[in-house]
Amino acid sequence: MVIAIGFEGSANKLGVGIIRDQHILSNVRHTYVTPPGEGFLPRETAQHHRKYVLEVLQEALDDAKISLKDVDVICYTKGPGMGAPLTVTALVARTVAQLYNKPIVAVNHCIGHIEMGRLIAGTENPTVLYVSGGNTQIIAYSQQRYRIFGETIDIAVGNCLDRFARLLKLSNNPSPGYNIEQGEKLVLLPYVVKGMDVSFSGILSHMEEHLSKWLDTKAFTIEDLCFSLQETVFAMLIEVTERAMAHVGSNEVLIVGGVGCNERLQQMMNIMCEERNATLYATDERFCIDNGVMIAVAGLLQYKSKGGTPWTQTTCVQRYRTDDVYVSWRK
Amino acid sequence: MNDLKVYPYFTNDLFIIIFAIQFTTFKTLTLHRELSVPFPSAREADVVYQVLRVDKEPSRSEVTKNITLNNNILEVSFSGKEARKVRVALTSFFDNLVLVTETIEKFGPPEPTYSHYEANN
Repeated sequence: MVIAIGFEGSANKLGVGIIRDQHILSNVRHTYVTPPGEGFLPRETAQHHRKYVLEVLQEALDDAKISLKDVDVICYTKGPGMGAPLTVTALVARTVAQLYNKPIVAVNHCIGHIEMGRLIAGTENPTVLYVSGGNTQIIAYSQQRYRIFGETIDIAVGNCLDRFARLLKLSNNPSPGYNIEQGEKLVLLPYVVKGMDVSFSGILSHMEEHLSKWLDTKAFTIEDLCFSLQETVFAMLIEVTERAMAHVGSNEVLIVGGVGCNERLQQMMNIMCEERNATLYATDERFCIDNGVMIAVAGLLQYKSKGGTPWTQTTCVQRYRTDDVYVSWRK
Repeated sequence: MNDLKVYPYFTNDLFIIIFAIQFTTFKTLTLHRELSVPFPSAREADVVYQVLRVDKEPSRSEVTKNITLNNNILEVSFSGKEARKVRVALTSFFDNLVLVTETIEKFGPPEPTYSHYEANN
């Protein structure tokens, strides 16, 4: 039996999770929530993480009923993400590794989502739609790499939804994207799929530009606009996912990342899957949204196949592509 | 007083040091600052040194930071041309230093050695 602890802090979620082999012992998260209309910035987010990281760590240990002595390997998020918040969790991970003389493993955040999703949903080789506030990628595994078949060429889909929600001054609690899931009248919006890639920033600008006109003339309600934005961007994602599945001959889809909690996205994906006789796998908000367990899961796989990360390489990087990682633990 | 218990006072002292440095960095062309941070034991100083030496300064900061270990004293030097950037580097260094010492305080004391530098098992 191997016990792994994972530290996650690449964006506004701070998480520490502990697993014993494939069993989850604890999963504690603390989210930095900004006032309506405001996004989170690196410096303030890092301050939040600094303030809560030791508390969250203690709570995760208490929930798991273990001490750091019992842990076999320390895992942390190396990137991608915001530099300052990443550094906070990396520092704490390195310090506890030193204090208890434990090996440390640097984990790619995206790989964390994928491996956690595969474990929780119980799917062997799915086409993965990774959708969050910072990332939008359509991924499939081939020859020791998670290959990116399609991705956003500008902002992430979650960023597009969050920024639209902030434009309307919707609450950031639990997340702005969640609060736009309510409407029924469809506004015609730009539909931007370029080959296998998608683009969201133009849609957002289009909405910003027409927002006051739509609302002032009472042609559409706020709910209608939210509904229309969701339908449009999700349709784009489903189209590209379906094309990736056809290309690799896959009949499983896994949705991971914070936007993966969205029930409408899951519903639309399910319709596509039914039409193709494929199966949809999704997880709930405990695991979709950034958390420490996903880092422990991916870190433990990495540790079992090729050991820990050499000390001088336990840095953080803001840019770290999913396909940079050599996936030694899969055939 | 037992040396091991001085962390809270030690944390306050850090901020006094920050202010002292801010007032003295404006006049020279190449700014150079040195700090010595004493720890209760050589191993604790070593933990802090090992943890902090990994991260390089961001390239846009144009500040060179050099950390060395002298028994139970952590010695750090900063040099750069712009006072603002040297100050940012110092502030961020102190933020990190405080976080690491708080972690040691809460989850320490450290094991006598660390044996996974090369890792791979």
